[in-house]
Amino acid sequence: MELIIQNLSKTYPNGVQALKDVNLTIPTGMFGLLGPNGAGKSSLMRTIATLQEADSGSIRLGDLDVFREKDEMRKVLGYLPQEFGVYPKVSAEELLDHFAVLKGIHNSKERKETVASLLQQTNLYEVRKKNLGGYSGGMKQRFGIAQALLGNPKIIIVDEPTAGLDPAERNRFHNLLSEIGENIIVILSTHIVDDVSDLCRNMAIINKGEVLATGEPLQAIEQMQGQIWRKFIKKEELAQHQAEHAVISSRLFAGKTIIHVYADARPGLEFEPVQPDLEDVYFATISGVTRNAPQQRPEAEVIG
Amino acid sequence: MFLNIFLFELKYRLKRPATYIYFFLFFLMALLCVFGVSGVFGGTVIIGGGSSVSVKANSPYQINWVITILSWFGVLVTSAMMGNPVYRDFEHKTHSLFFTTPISKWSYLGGRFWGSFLVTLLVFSGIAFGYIFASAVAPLFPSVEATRFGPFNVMSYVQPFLLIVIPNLLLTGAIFFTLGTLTRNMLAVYIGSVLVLVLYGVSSALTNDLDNDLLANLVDPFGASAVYQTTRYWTAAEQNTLVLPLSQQILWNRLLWDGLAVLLLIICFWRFSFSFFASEGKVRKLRREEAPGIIATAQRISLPKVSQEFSFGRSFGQFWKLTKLEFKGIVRSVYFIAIVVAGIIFLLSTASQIGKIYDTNTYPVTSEVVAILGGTFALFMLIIITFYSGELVWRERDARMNQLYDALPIPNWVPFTSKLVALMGIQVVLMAVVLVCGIIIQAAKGYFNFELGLYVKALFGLQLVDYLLMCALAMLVQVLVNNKYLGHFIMVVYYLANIFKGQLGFEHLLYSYSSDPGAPYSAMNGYGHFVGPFLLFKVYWGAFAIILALVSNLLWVRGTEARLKGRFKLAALQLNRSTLVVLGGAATVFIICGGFIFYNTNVLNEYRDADDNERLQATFEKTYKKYQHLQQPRVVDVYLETDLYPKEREFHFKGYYWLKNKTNVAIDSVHIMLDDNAVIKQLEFARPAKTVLFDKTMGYHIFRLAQPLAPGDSVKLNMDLLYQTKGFKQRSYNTGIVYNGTFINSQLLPHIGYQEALELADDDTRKENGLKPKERMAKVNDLKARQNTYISNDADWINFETVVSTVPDQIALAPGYLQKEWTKNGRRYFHYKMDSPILNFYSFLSADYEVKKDKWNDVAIEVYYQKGHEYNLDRMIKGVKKSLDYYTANFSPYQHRQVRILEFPGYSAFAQAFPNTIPFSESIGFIADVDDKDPEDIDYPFYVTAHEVAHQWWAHQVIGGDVQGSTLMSETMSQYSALMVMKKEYGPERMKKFLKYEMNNYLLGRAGERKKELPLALVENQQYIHYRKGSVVMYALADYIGEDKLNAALKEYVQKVAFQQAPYTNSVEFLSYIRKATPDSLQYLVDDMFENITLYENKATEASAVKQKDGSYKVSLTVDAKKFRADSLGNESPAPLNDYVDVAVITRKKIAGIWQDFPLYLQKQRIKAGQNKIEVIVKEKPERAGVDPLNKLIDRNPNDNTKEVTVKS
Repeated sequence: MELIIQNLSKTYPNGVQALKDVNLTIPTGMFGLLGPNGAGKSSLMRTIATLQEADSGSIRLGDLDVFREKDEMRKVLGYLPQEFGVYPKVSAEELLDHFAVLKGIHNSKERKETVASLLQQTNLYEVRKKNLGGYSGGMKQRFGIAQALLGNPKIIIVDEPTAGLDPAERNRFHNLLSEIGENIIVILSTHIVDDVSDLCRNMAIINKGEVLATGEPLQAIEQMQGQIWRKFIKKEELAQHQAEHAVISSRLFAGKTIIHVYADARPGLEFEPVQPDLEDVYFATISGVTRNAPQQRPEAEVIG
Repeated sequence: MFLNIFLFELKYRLKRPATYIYFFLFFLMALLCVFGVSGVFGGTVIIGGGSSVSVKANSPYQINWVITILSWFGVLVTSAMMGNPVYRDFEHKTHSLFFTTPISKWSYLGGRFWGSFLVTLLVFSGIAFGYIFASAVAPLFPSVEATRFGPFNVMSYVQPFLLIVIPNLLLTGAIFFTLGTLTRNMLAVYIGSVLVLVLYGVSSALTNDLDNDLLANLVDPFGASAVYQTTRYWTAAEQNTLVLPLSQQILWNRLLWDGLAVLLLIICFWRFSFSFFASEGKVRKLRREEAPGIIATAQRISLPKVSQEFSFGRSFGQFWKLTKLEFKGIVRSVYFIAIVVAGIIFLLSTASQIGKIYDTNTYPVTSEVVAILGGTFALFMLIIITFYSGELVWRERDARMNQLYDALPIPNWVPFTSKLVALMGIQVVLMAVVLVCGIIIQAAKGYFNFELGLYVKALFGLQLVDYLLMCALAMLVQVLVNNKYLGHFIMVVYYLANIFKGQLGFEHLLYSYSSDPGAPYSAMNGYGHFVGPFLLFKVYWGAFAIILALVSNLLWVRGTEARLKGRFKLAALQLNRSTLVVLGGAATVFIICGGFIFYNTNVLNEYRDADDNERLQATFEKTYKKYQHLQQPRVVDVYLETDLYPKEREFHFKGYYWLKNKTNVAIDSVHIMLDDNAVIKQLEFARPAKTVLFDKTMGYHIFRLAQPLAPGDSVKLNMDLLYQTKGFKQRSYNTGIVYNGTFINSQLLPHIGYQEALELADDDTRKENGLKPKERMAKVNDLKARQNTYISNDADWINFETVVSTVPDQIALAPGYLQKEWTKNGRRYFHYKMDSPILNFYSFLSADYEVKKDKWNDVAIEVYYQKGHEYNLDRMIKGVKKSLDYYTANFSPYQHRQVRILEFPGYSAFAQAFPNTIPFSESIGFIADVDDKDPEDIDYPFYVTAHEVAHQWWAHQVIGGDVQGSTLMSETMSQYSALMVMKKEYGPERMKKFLKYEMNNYLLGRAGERKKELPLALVENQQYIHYRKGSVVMYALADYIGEDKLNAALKEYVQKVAFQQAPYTNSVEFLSYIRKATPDSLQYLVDDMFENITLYENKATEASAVKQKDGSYKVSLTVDAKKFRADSLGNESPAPLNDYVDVAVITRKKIAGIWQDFPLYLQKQRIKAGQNKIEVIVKEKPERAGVDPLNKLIDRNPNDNTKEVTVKS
């Protein structure tokens, strides 16, 4: 089953165009939606999760028209929004059970089992009787995923799930997601490149409401081979380099500034070649310096 | 730093649209008030106690009330604006940013508080600006008279702000700010406003008892009682000119509550701590349970396969589960509990006021308890509906769980419906709370006749329905506006608009949401015929509520689309078949019920709103006034076969009048007026006559006799009239003929000649309808007017005979003596005949009565009462006996052989005296709970009985002409007679409280006079004068000239005028008898009391005593005395004073186990204007001293008449 998004556009009442003619085909497995803050990731996620209308375009899950059959979509959907709260005075077990009922799991034995099992999987079983108000960010996030997993969803949407988690929590979370992502569609939006490179078989890079690139991370990295160059510079030289070269990123390393430059050939002697990683792909894409970036390929070629 | 934060707060607030919305709403409300008061909407609305037409729309008094009242409603705005300044930082999670900056507590809290305070004050100034603007604009409307407005005076606006608005704002601001800051919860803030309102309510409940003035003033956080107590006796002239003064009451109230405000702010400052609030303490413990580090790669996720079901039945299960969850969520919230507890405290505190008349309790019968508690609790119900509708609609969003919920596979109808049903469930619980409170109150008062069935009917059958309908509306508003606070505000505006909708011209119930024609309860008649129309209206509105709920559901915010436009688009997509079916069904029921209601109110019965009625009256006057002074024959004999059909609510008069030409000219045409509801089967003379005019709408008919009626000749008028009840009317309760407890009177029978009483009376209304202003009554000496009694203008004294029939289980009654009783064809007949002439004024009653009989000499006493209302029968019978004792001894013999008291349903609260017949409302005496041991309790069943029995003399023997002052000889004299009987029975001490009420009601009454106040001798049927002032004046007169002397004069007068023929007596004649009995030295009393409006301003300024060697005390007293004469508008001018006034020295003694005032010295002395020094020697240690301690003279500050004596040894 695939999720096919076609010509999706959305402009907010305040004039911000959140989505510009978005076309995506998302196959089974983990799909990473990578983009900076405010790129339109959450808008896209909410639209897929039936919480927001689009001005035009369509979303189909298999035979299902998401816009017209919201109820059907919700039956197979697991959604973990970017930000959510919980009732602080309710225990995880109670609230999960409550959600289970609302997800249509009416057989109480089944419900009990699935709640217990989800709490086990998300490592919350020990604290299941505790009120959610006392949960840490990571625990709450895992509760969120447990909630999203209720009722055998066919598609799971997780919006920036690892923001604010410590590394251990993040690892734990990634493990969980990758396990889930084997048989169903999992869409993960993030601005952390590593999340995608660690987890996702497919990805799309989105900025300012536009899909800039889609494809497999490895393939994308492969394509960048030999085109990324690195140089240590002084802080003051940055502006000059930006004017002369296609600087895709700059960061500090041991007190010095390292810049990465995108070029077909070595731009100068002081530049040294770098083995590109997904981050370079990402920065190159969103800074718009790539001319042969994957987004220009017809989407049908995206591996499904 | 303070300044920075202060200015930031100002800027922040001034950028918020809410600030301007609130300002504009205040502006608008003030505008509407002024428009209402000045008559832009036609007619005039009265806002604030005691305002009257002669008071200008921009008089300081009127401005003060509008500003004060609107500022109370502004509490809601205050809570939103002042509860929020610090709370906001927590809500937006900016607190950690602010609290870590180097600002001082004072700068932060002070800046936020005063910034918000200033902006809130600006918002409130909208009232003043709205008022000023409206005062400038209103005179431009054609319906507004220019005289409604006086000159602009800025102090009229400033003073209420200084004394009321700003202090209240400081108090409520301090409460809300402190609550918001310390609890960080907006609901806590609302609870604060509820508590403030509770205190206000308790205070107004206390105001009912005159002895509670001080307490009522201090308990009231808004100072309303203080304003009331300061201005209650202001006359129109004073209201027009006086700016609210800083009176004692206002001063003390303001000091107390603003002191509290300052205290609260100090507590807030002291308790507030940046670090305390910034930390979030609980989380740490859990975090430790998981160690960081290497995490075992998760085992394969293997979730048990589950089955999901999405049938309707399953959705219903989800709905039910959510409903329970929401319900529990509310019930368990501390705030709900707090509101309910506050409500219960309020209920229990008002319980002491149940059914109080003259400060004397009634038995806590279930219907009273339900009425009072239901009414009292209504405020809390509305608060709960208003606030919790917002909480429910916003619950998920407030918890930031909306995205989780919205993406769940639950049908759209489930979330909204579950919330609505949960809110409705809360109403059921609250009604149960009222029920339990009611039973507790009854039991606590030792009353155990809990009528559970009645409780259930009243609370769950009647009141609950309204609340359920209100829930639907509140939820719709919340969903529509999608802003919790704006939603609250709109609901409050809605409640207010509801109060004023009549004035705005929305009279028909069909377009007034949740309305019904009312369902008053009577112990005699139950809910009677009101049930059907009530239910029909509720089904009608219920169907409408379902439509509202469906619309709300369609517009329910699911997902992130919150704009109304977008939601309407989504709603259109959701219109599936089942929604349409329900919508169509509800709309069908709505239309059918509406149609049926319309059929009843507008087709079966003619629908007239207030304007229609006024127009009709005006047309009547314009068309027929020309016939007013035509010579007409007079009714001399009445025979009626009166058939009452209580179940069908029909009655039937068949019989005749004998009309006699008492003039000295022949009369060729007879003009007959008849209620337009009567179906005329026959109305014709027993001799040839032609119908010249038959005007059914006006009820005006003219017959020309073939042969004119010669002077002294009589003619028989045969009649056969039917009054039917067809369906139901809009509002006319039609409580005359009911299932049990029919009470109809001679008004429904034909009248001869033009009836001036049907003309429009109010000058404003007359003007609107193109009529000139008219005097209320003819001048006291108008001989033409004195040809009629003030009771009827078509008869003098008549012979009366009637056969009344009713259903077999009821007894039918009418004036006269029972001749015969029989049953025929399943109907019970009673034949009554009066053996002496009576006024043309009679009534018919029928009910399933119990009868208690007694005797006074040869006079039979009978009380016809509702089973269960036995409580005060003995008091009434005693009242009859003592009255007969006193009146026969002092006035004249009793003209009948019988006194009957007949209970009728409490739809009206009065007793009325017909010849030998006294209909007596069930609500004013039958359930009184008089405590004989309490000197403060007034035995009003006894008093009312004595008053009505006195009318057998003062009205039914002595009747004044149709001129000014005539009610002096009926109502005032009946009051006087009853007072004397009461004094004789209970002693003068017990009269004090009663007279205090009479005085208060007189002073309040004159403040609310709509046209002009008149001296007692010229009273124009003004109740506050002939009852209230009359009591005070006559009691004092009896005291000054002696009861016996006064009675002797009265006896002489009665002998002269009893049963006289025209011209009828007037107050001038009456006063001549009084003057004759009054010594020269006291003649001024008659001038002062009867012929002028006289007020005293007596005050004891100093009182001290020195103990003498012989153990006695020499009391030195300084008294400041003033006497005024007032004109009809209340303009006062000083009058010379050299009057006899009681000088008293009082101590407290325990008499019969109760501490009471005991006079050591009580003598009349001459008092002159200004300072009087008086010395008195008394035997015992004095407590208080002063003048006029029993308030015999009319004085607006009776409490300062005496002063505590400082004893120097």
